Amino acid sequence: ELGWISKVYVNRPAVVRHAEQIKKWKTVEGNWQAAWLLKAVSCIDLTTLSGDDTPSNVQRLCFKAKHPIREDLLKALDMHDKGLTVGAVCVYPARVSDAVNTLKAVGCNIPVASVAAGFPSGQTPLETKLAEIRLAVEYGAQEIDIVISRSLVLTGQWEGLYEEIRLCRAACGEAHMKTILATGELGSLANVYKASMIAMMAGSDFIKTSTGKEVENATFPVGIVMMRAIKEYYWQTGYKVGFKPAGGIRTAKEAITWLMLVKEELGVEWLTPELFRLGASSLLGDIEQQIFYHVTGSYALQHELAMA
Amino acid sequence: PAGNTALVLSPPATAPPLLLLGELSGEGAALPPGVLNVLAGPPGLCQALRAHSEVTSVTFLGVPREELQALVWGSPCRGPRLRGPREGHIVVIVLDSADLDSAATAIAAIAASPPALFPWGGCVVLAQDSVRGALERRLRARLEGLRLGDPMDPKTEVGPLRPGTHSPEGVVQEAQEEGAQVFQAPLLPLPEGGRRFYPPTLISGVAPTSRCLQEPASGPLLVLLSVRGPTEAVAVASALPQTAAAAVWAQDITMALDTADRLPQGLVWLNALDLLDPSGGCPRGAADTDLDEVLREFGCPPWEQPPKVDMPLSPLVTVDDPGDPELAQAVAAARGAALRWGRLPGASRARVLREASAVLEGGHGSPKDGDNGDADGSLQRALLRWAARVERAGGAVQEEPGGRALVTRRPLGVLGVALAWPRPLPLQLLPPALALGNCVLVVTPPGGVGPAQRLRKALVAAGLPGSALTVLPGNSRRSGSHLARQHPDGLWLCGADADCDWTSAVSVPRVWGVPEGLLGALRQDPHPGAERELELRCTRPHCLWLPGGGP
Repeated sequence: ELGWISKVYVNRPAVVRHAEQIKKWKTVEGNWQAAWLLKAVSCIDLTTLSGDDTPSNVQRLCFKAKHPIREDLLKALDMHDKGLTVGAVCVYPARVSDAVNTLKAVGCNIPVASVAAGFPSGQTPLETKLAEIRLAVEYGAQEIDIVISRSLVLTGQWEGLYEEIRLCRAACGEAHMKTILATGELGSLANVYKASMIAMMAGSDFIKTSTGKEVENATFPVGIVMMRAIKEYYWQTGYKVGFKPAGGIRTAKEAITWLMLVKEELGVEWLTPELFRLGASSLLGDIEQQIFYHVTGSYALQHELAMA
Repeated sequence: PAGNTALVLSPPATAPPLLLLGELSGEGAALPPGVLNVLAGPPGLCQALRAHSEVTSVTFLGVPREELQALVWGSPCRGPRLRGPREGHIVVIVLDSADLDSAATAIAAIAASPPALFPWGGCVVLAQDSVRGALERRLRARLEGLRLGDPMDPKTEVGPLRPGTHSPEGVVQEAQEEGAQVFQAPLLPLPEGGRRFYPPTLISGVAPTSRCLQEPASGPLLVLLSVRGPTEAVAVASALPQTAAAAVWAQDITMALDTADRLPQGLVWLNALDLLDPSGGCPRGAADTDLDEVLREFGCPPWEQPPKVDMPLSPLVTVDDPGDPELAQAVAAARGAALRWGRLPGASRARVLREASAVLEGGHGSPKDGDNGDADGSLQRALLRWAARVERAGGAVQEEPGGRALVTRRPLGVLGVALAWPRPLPLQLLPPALALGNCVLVVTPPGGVGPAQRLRKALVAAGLPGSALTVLPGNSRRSGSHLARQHPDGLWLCGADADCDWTSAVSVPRVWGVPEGLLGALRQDPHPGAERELELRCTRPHCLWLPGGGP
């Protein structure tokens, strides 16, 4: 429905000003902080997307995914029996089978998410993209993170973009699809909004800000614009699409600010792993540090917390 | 910082923060003792202040208009200078090409906690038809999310009502009875501690005559009106009685700038609502808030002595005044002309003045009234000087971290001048007023009508619209008050006899008792400060905020 995006206006300075104010929000303290951090942990997509991924480091990642926080810390917070795990594990398609096997071996039912469709640049022909998606699903990935072709957005080919995402959605089959918009490369906030709407209309379950490999990844102005698009889509259709900021989130404070932003823009219903994920790799380490500090009163040494 | 000492009188309910300020300024030798004094007492003490001989200037803050009329006294020309309150709604115009989400966020934030410069407020939103529904939905979502609480806590966004103000409940109920839809965010139970909280409220579907639009709101109130287009938005915004500032939200830059240009408010924001700078101004408030003017008010230019003690007006002299209907007609005609004359570019007005000067010079025969003629050609010189000045007149651009502000000065509109000095007549006041785009209505004693009419004829021959300058004979004793009752946009009173009482002048935004020293300065080569003073008195500040280029 092209009519929805033809009248999109986004005022960049106003959004940036709003984002600046958000950074100044006083953060929560004490027990509330620990609670928000654990919530953030349950929403993390633990990610490893490097050229030198091998079965061994993927295995280590899966172990960490099952036990994101050290047992005794959780016991101190009285959360050890709640089965706290991260939201998902995110790897390249070639490593999906390793991840699935490891998780099955440890008896954990966290979904494995695979990136696909020519990650990270998206500059591959459509047939190979669809083939990659099908193969990832075959290997056992239950979530697929696809990448859109930025050139379609930059040249304004909205129907083309819609068609591409729709075909990817069909290829995913039963798997849950996240559409990565790569907002750092889309040019303007208005384009971000329009691309979000098209992605949602074409059937994405989640929209994701970035691949993590761009110059500018998840920033608050972009997040605000995408969340407003999600809200508008919900008002128009009643269908809730999830949001995932990825890339550049390294500290626990930022994670909490993202959670507060989601609560303010989208509402409390979006604060669950079904509708909100944080794409991060080193964030978990920082969150664990903050929880360690909260429980013991001092920061942990490097060897005291398990490496991901 | 201008070097005055201040005495602050406040009702006991609001005194504690001021007393704290007084204490803090005394500690640490920040201010010498006696520079800032705080008195907590009933408003009746104002009368005592009035009688005190050493008080030179009195400013009112946060006083509703009705109470102000009961409190003011005396005349603008004698006694302490009085400054009125700054109050009013903030008008927000949302056009169809606006970023609705950002606009809704900003509007909700400002309705909840208005900026310090405009403490009385409430917000009136004029939304274009096509986006009204979407904007309303977003406003409701935002209002629901606002957090009420203790103003000292940085997380709260809506504080309690100011003590001593009425709850806006009455206004809201009236609106509901008139059939408007009222949406109120649910008020969570809060520890009271002697504070009253009012939930942020959105009222939509009211008529422009409703009470919630006529007076500034005393709580977080948002009124939403629907308009068909930018021209209608400008018309409605101009018709609202008390407005402090305005904002235009539109991404279409041509439409946005055009609309912002036509608004009468002194401070206009473009796609923003929370940027403030010292040059804000309000056309209908009684305060000049331009930085230049504030400094002027608290200081004393060299040709002026501090005003003397208030003396009662001597009894009425003979009645020879223009009647009210005559004045009303003249004012109405002047308003009609003011739009065109004020909008002309400076160069056209300068041309008219120059030609008038040539006409005066040419037709200078034997003056009929003898000693009131323009014997020394100073009037011509004044015309030429002001023509040159208005050609050069421009504004200023102030750069601030969030963007830039264009500060210009606009003509007041219709200016009423009551002249009283018998001879020689200070006609030099007229060229600046006309040059800067005002339409002037002059009331002079009978002896002065001749030269004034001659000047008028010369100007009309040069191209001035007929009703832009009207000369009426009248006794200046009461003409000041008569003029004030016609609600011109400005009122100048020249001379020891010209006067008006404050009660009728309160409705006029700018009243000025022209000091004698100023005119003396004009007669010879003018003091540069004198010309600037006149320029400032003939115009009001207009500030347009253009955000952009942020971090």
